[in-house]
Amino acid sequence: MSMRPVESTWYRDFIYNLNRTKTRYDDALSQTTSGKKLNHLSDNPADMAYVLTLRSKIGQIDQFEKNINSASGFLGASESALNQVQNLLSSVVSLAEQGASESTGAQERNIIADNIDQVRDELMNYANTEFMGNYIFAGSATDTVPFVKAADTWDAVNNIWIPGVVTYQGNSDTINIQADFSTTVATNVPGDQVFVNQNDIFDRLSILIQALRRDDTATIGTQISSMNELIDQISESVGTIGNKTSHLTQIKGMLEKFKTAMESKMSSLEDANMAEAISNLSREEVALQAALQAGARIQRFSLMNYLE
Amino acid sequence: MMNLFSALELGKNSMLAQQQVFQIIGHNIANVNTEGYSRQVVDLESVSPSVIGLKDGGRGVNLAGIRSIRDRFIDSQITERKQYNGYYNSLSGAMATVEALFDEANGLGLSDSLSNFFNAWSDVSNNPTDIPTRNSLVSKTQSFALATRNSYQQLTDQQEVYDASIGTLVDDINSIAYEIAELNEKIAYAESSGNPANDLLDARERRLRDLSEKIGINFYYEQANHSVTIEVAGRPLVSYSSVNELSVQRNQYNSNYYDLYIEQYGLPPLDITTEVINGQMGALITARDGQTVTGAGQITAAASAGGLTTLTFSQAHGLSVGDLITINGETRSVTQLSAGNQVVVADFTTLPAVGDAWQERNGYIPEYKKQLNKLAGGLIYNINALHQQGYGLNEGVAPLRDFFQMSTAPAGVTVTGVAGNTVTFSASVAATLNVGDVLTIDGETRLVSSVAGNTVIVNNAFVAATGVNWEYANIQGAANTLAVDSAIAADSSLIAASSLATAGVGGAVGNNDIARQIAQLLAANNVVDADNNGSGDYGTFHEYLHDLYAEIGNASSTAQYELDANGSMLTYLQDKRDSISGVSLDEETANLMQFEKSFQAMGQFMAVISQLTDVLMDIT
Repeated sequence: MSMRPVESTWYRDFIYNLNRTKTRYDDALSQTTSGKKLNHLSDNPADMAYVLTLRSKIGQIDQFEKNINSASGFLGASESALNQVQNLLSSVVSLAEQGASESTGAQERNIIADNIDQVRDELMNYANTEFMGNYIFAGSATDTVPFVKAADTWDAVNNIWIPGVVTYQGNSDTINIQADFSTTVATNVPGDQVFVNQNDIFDRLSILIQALRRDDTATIGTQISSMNELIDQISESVGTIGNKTSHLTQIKGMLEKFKTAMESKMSSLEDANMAEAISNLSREEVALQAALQAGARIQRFSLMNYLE
Repeated sequence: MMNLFSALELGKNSMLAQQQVFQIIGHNIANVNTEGYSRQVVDLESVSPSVIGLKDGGRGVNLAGIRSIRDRFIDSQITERKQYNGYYNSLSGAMATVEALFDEANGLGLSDSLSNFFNAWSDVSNNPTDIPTRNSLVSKTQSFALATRNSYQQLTDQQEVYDASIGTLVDDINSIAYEIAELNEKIAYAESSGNPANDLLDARERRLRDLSEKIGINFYYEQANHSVTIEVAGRPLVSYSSVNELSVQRNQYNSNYYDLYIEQYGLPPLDITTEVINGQMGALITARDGQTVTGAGQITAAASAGGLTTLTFSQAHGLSVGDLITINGETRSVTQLSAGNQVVVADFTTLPAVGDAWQERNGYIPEYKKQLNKLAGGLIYNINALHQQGYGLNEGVAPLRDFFQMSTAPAGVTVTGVAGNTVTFSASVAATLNVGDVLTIDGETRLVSSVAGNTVIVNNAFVAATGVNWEYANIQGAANTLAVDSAIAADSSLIAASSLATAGVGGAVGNNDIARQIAQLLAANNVVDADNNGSGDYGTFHEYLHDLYAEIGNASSTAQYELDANGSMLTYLQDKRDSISGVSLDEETANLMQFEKSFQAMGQFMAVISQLTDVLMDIT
C-alpha cells in the first residue's frame, strides 16, 4: 500500500485489526452464550420486528387456549348437570307409568306423587348448579339463583297440595368467549332456554304431581308422553353443548398447529444454531490468538539490534 | 586565501552544523510515538568561498534549515474525515443507549407488557365476577403504564444528558479555538523571522483535528501570515488571533434545552443550532432534537396576534403539535394545528416573511417519544370508548367510567352545545385541545379532528351527549402520564366488564361483553392515529410498537455501519500520512550512523589541523 511503512503504521493497523477480530469474537461469544442470533434491536431490525410480531401472536394463541379451557370447564359442568337431569326425567317416566297403571291404588299414587315432588326439587338443584362460584344456568346473572320455588299452596277444591311455583330469576343472555382471532363461542345455555321456553319442565312436573294426587289417571296418561317431550328438550340442549365442545376442540387443534408453525419460524430467525455458533467461536478464538501472536512479533528486528 | 586558522574555523562550523543533525535525529526518535508528529530533516548546504573565483576553497558545511516533512493535503483530508468520525462515534453511542432502553430481546420489554395487559382483559372476560382476576388486571395495567412512562422518561433523560454534554463541549471547543489562535500568532511570528516553527505547526494540526472531531469545521490556510482561519456553519470561529466564541442559551420553546450560538463582530450572537451537522456536536444535537431537514414548500403567510404567530404553508407540512420549526435561525415549537396548512407558534423576534424557507427536525429521540405518545393515545381512546359503555359489578345505572385516567376540564370552561360532530365551548379551548386529542363528553369518547377557538369538531358524531360533563386526554405527553383510573385502582369491582346492568337479582354480573371486546382490541387494526389527524389509521398496537423498534434498530445499525466505514477510511489516511511524515526508527538509526562517521572524520581532520598548527608554532 504505502511505499514507506513506519513503526506507528504497524501498531495502528495491528490495533485496528485486532479490535475488529475481537468484535467478531465478541459477537460469536454472545451468540453462543445467549443461544440467540438477535441480541439487540440493531442486530437485524427487520428480523427482530418479525420475531416480536410472532412472539405476540403466539402469546395471543396461548390466551385463546386459556379462554377455550375456561369455556370447556363451564360447558362440561353444564353437560354433566343436564345428563343428571335426563336421568331424573327417565326415573319420572317410570314412576309415572307405575302411577298410570290400573293396579295402583290411590295411596300408592300419593307416595309416587311425593317421590316425583322430591325429584322435582332435585331437578331444580341441578338447574341451580354452580361452577367456580357462578350459577351456570342463570344466563349472565351468574350470582343470582336461577330457579326459586315458592311455598306449596293448598288446593281447597281438590284437597291436595300444589307444589310451589318455580320461577326463573336469571336472564336470557349468552356469555361468549374469544376462541380465536375471529371466532366467539357461547359458553352457556340460559336456564330459561333449557328448562322453560319450549316447555316449562317444573310446571309440567307440577301438573303430573297434581294429577297423581287427584287420582286423575287420564291426565297421568297424557303427561307421560309430555315427559318424553321434556327429555327431548333436555337432549337438545345437551346436543348444543356437545357441538360447542367439539367446535372448541377443533379450534384448539388448529391453534396448536398454527402455534407450532410460528414457533418454528421464530426459532429459525432468532435462535442461534448451536453447532454453527460454537464452530464460529472456535474459529474466532484461533483468529484472535493468531492476531495477538503476530502483534507480539512486531518490531522484533530493528537496526538498533545490530549496532555494535 | 585559505589558512590553517580558517581550516579550524571550517572544522568548528561543520562540527556544530553536524551536531544540529544529531539533535534533530534525537528529536525524531524521541517523537516516534507522538500523535501527529511530522519528522524533521536538516538541510545542509556547502558554504561557498568568501570571494568566488579566486583559488580559495569552500568553507565547509552550514545548516541551511530544519524542515518538517508534511503533506498538507493528507493532513486536511484527515482533519475533514475526523468530523464524520466524531459524528458517527457519538451517534452510534447514543443509539446504543436508546436500544438498551428497549430490551425486547429477552422478553422483558414493552411489547410483552402490552400482551400481558390484554391477556389480563381476556382473563377477566373468562371470569368477570372473580375479584382476584380483576385485581390482576389492575396490576398488569399498572405494570404496563409504568413501563410506558419509564420508557418515555428515560428517553427524556437521555435528551438531558446530551443537552448537558453540549454545554461542556462548547467549553472544550472554545478552549481549543483559543489555543489555535495563540498558535497562529506564534507561528506567524516565528515564520516571519525566517525560523520554521515545525513543532508548533504539528501542534496546530493536532488541535485542528481535535476541533474537527468535536464540531464540523471549514478551514483555510492563509498565505499572508501562515495562519489557519476556521469557520463553523459558515461563520468565522478563529481568524488569525481572534476567536468568536461559541456559547449556549436555553430555548424556552425547546423544553429549555440549549441552543448553540456563535459570537459575531458588532452583532448579537447568532443561533447556529440547526446549521451544525457534523462532529460530536452535530451528533448530540441530532440525537437530542432530531435531524434538521428543509421543510416542504414555503411560508405563504405569517400573521401575529396576541403573542402567537399563525404561519400558512404552501403545501401540507406534516407537522404535529410539539414539533420544532426553525425560520431564519429562530426555533419555536408548534402549539396548534389549524386547517388550511396552518400552524400556530409563539411569536418570533422578527416576523417571518412570505417565501421564507423553514426547517424542521425529524426522527431520533423526539420521534420515538411521539410514537410512544400516539400508542398511549390510541389505547386511551379505544379502551375508554368501550369501557364507558359498560357496568362494573353491582351497578344498575351506567357509570360512564374511564379505564385510563383522563384530565379534568379546566375550571370554568363548559360545553354550551353539542350537535352531531360539532362541540361548542364557553371559551376558547385552543390552549387545551389539539388535533388527535381524546375528548369525552357525558361518557362518549371521540377524537378531535379540528379546533378553532371555541369550536371543536370530532371524528364521529355524538349520540346522546348534552355537555354536562367533559374531560380530555392530550396525545402530547400521553405516554408520560398513562395511568389506570384511580377509582378502579382502589376498587377493581368498578371495572366495567359487562354490557348490561349488574345490580340486584338477575343482574348480568356474568356478562363479559365489554371485557371481551377490549381484549380483542389487541388484534384490531387502525387503532393508532399515526398521522395525527384525528382518526385511527395504523394498527395493531403491536405492529405500531414493533415499527418503532425497527426504526430504532435501523438508526442504530446505520450509525454503527457508518462509523466502521469511516474508521477504516481514517486508518487508511493515517497510514498514508505516516508513510510521508512518520518516523522510521531504522531510517533514523542509519542517519545516526552516517553522521557519526562524518563527525568522527571531521574530528580527525581537526586533530590533524591542530598538529599542523603546532608545527607552525614550534618554528618560532
